[in-house]
Amino acid sequence: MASLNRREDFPISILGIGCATALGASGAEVEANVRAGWRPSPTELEIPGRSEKGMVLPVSASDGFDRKFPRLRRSSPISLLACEAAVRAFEAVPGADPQTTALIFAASNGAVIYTRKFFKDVVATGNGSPIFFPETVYNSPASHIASLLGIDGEVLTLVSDATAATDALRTASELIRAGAAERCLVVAAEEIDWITWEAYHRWGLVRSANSCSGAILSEGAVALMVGRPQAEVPTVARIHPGVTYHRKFPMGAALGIVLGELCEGLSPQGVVASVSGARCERAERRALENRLPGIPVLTPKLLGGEAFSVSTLLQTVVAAETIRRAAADCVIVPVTGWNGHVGGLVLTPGAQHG
Amino acid sequence: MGCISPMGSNAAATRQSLRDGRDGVREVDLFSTARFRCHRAGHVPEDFEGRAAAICLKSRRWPRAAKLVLIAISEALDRRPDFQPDVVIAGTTSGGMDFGEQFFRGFESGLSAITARQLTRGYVPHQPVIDVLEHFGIAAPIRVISNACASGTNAIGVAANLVRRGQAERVLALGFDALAELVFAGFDALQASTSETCRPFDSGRSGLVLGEGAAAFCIERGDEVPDDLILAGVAGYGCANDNFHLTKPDPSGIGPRLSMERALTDAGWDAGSLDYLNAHGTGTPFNDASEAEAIRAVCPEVPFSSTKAMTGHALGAAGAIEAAFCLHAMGGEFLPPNIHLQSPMSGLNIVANESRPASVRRVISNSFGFGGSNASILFEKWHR
Repeated sequence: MASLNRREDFPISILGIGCATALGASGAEVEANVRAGWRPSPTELEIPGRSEKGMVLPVSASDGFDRKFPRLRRSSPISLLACEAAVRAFEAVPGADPQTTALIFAASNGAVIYTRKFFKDVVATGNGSPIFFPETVYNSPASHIASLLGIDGEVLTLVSDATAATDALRTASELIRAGAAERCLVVAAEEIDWITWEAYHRWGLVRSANSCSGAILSEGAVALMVGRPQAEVPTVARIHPGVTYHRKFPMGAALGIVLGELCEGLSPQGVVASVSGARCERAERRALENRLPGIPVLTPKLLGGEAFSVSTLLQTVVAAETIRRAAADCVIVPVTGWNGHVGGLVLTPGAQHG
Repeated sequence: MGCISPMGSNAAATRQSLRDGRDGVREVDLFSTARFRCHRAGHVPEDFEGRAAAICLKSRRWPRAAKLVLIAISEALDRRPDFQPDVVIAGTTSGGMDFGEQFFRGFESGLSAITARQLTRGYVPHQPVIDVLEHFGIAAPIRVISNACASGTNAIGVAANLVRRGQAERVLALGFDALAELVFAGFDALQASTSETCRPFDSGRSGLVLGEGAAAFCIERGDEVPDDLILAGVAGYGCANDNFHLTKPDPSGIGPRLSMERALTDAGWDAGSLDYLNAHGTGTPFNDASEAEAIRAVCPEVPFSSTKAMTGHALGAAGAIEAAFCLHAMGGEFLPPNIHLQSPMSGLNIVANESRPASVRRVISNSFGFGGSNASILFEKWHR
């Protein structure tokens, strides 16, 4: 098994949080809702030409968000949500300087609404809209955020399953450690479209209106401003580089490795799990039972739905708020992607690194 | 290093095509272009599917992009069969887009659950890389960068930085993208693609043609590898975001200029020490004007060319493919040509129409993309 200097993880402290999710708009609100077990009501999603309906948790950019920024007038929901969360996190850090801040954006499905609309027009008429196409590119939300905040240095978009967000945090840690950025704005965003739901439904992973199994598909955005480790500030102390699973090396085995390496030398007091109701995540339950029996487990995705990389940062927010409230001083965040990757994080109250 | 592009599917063919200034652009036959303005693109050699199947039979069920990745990584590992990366950094814009298109088209006709799952799984950008790594028994984690057309250069730059900073020992870096109807239609809708010949840095240029391919690089510390296995050193990397417009570059060339300057600063090089510049040079009026401004400001004397007139624009693969071309220029001691030039833009040292023999020790390769992404990378002939 390859190692990416796991022993030399460089911790990063969470300095600002911004959310635009079904579970709330701030870290404290999200964590309170998760702890209270508050479950937003899902809505039914029409699937063209089919009687079956999807169950989803939609999120809109808030009315208070300034949509007049010229770049956002015709942008997709994913970009609006991403910008809203990013601005909240950035503005939560006094003196945040775009010139010394890198932007790392994580997505799994990207701007799927415009992609589907564009290709529908291409198939039907041979011509797609020149307005839609640029917004379909994976890095369009990052471009809008960078423009909105004036970030002109390192701007990276990472794409994967739910582990895109752990990749983003790992990249942020590497940049900060190297001195290439003072701070990093790590943002994840997703949007719902019926074709995404349909694709995952055919895979048996998401819930329909007449079924009680599978995850409820959700959307939204979460942003974290992270910087060098500070004492008494919730800190991502370890970021596992991830393990790839496949038929010959199943998810459970991969997650066992991740949990074993994340927990080495630590005494975790809580887990914010990745489980969202999809059948492939039984492996996570088993791995947790094996590695961390009896540990308290929070399951925000069972409440707020599955939004891939957004959900990973949402788990991180719940863990950070748990640390901030001093309810635990070591929380594990396992991440089980649906497309071949698992990863994870450890959060602590602050790091020893100066 | 491994590379498949319209210039060839192995090192010898690629180097010869570059030296000859071969035009790898032809009529598109993967999908109908009847309703588009542009009908041509750079295609990888027609036997690539057979080559891919010879490496891994299962590849017959993979998206087109995965077959390209398979061939590129296979060639890279031929030279370094014991290379076990700590992490894989891949750049792409559209992953297995052909599978996404098939899923969309098949929706109304009713796909079987197995087919739907296969298409959904293969569409995800990192899946082509997972499939290929599984074939080679590589268990490293994968990071996929999707910074539009700068992705390939970003992947090599991020990978090299991980090694240089001691954050990884070995990294496999690659860029890949395959021709896809949705993307082809997109550039057509933007009127960025041309119905004429692609002529980067020509006063009469009218747009780009698309291309495809993949290139992969085994990156590790040079002092731990025998000299005869080292193709080149990565000397510097720079990136910048110009925040001007989602699709148009800032006409002042500020983004390209900053990325080139940052790469040169990273390497501690003077611009005058460069022997060759591989330009992004898409052939669109906006890109080439902006890049030319930056070249005039940073390194006006350095000979340069856009190889996209030969290959088409391979988007997320372009930076990686053109990095491979830079290494061929060093190894073969020639400057690749900027073909189809009729009326070159003024004040630029373009390698016009024919390759030039030259001693090539230091090169810079530029890649720019939608969203204001700009990236530049520097390579140097290896010496201890």
